[in-house]
Amino acid sequence: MSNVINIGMSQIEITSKPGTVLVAPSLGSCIGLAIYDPILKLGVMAHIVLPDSAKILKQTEHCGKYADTAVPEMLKKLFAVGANKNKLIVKMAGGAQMFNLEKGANVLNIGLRNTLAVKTALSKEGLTLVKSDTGGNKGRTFKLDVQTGIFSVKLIGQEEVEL
Amino acid sequence: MTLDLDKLLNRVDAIPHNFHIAIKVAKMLDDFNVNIQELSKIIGTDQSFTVQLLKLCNSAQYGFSRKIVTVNDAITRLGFKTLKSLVFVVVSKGSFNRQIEGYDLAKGELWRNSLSCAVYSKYLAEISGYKDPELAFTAGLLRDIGKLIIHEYVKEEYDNIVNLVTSENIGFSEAEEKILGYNHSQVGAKIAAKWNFPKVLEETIEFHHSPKKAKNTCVDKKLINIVHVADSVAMMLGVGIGNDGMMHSLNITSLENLGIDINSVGIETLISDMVDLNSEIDLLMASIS
Repeated sequence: MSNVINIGMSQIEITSKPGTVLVAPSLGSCIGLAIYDPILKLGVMAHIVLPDSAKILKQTEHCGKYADTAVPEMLKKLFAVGANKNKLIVKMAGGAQMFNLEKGANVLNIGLRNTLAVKTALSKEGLTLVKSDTGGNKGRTFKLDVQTGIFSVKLIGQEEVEL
Repeated sequence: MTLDLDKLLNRVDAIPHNFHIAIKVAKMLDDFNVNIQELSKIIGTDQSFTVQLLKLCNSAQYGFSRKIVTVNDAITRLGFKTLKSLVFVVVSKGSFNRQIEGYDLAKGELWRNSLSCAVYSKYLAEISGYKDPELAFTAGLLRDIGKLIIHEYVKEEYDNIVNLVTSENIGFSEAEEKILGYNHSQVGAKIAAKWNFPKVLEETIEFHHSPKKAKNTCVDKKLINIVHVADSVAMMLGVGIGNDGMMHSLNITSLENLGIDINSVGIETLISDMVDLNSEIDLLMASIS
């Protein structure tokens, strides 16, 4: 039986323990971002809540809360245990949006801003996003099985599919 | 399928015993001349309720070094308003902490979602200078009570509801109402009336997805705005998110009414602060597990 590590909002978890599945559950506008080294069978996952730490005046100890701080922290953790930057596989899911009926409601679209901010932070680090499942207005759960390297996503009310 | 609301409400049990205590206690606590001995006696009539209430009063978030051992003690040290909201937490758990199949919510998900909405509502009340943050907590806690009843019909008509959301570009609640005749907020308000909840709670339940529809005659429109925003943030953060997902809209006017800046910095700062309340929600969950 696999060992599940649930990653709560703002958290980052890394593991290479065989049989472990990293899970970012109940993603609304948040992003589950996973980076995997297939040689070491090593995975790291973050549950990112917001795009940009610079906008927030209050300092936080949670690097995983913001896209711009989560990505460098994830890489730091990977490199500390010997991951090879050229082999990394990066995928993400989440970034749903509220059903906006009003004019000017784009300001509420945190999901889209999160998605774009993660892409920017990845390209700043020279990483390529292999695949993603973002947008819409349904909740998702995102998983990475570190033994098999299989990423999967489940939209609420639907079957889980490989990403 | 159109629901026969009277038939539906007849199926709803008479008020659960615990809610009966909560409403009686809430009404007594609203009275400045409340007799504390009498109040303790009413709470004390249900032993398991008393045990859970005291456990919650002694949980870490209230930080008392000396343990609260009697209801009398709880009233004196926590104050009437806090005690009232904790009474509702204890009684709600039995109803909310269950699987809600029609909304694809596993056991515990609606409970976490409701507690989160309660804590977020209290926070919004505090930052917006609302007169009674504890009332906001209770209103946030109870706003989805209609889901407990309507969910099996939503399950049957789910595809039709979602198709209507897409084809008519309307929110999930409005589509629920078009397909079933009533949405979960309206059903919730009817249950609240049947169970003799205070009018102010009946109205926050009814309008928590549609604050614009709240008439000026409503008891407390600011409270409706508070619960609406708290509910929306819980949804955005995916807390106990069901198959209605984020197919609800957030009313900008409600945010403005609470003094929140309508720009990306204002909204993101608000969410950043509200996420930090999650440890408090975890503590609450653990205190009454």
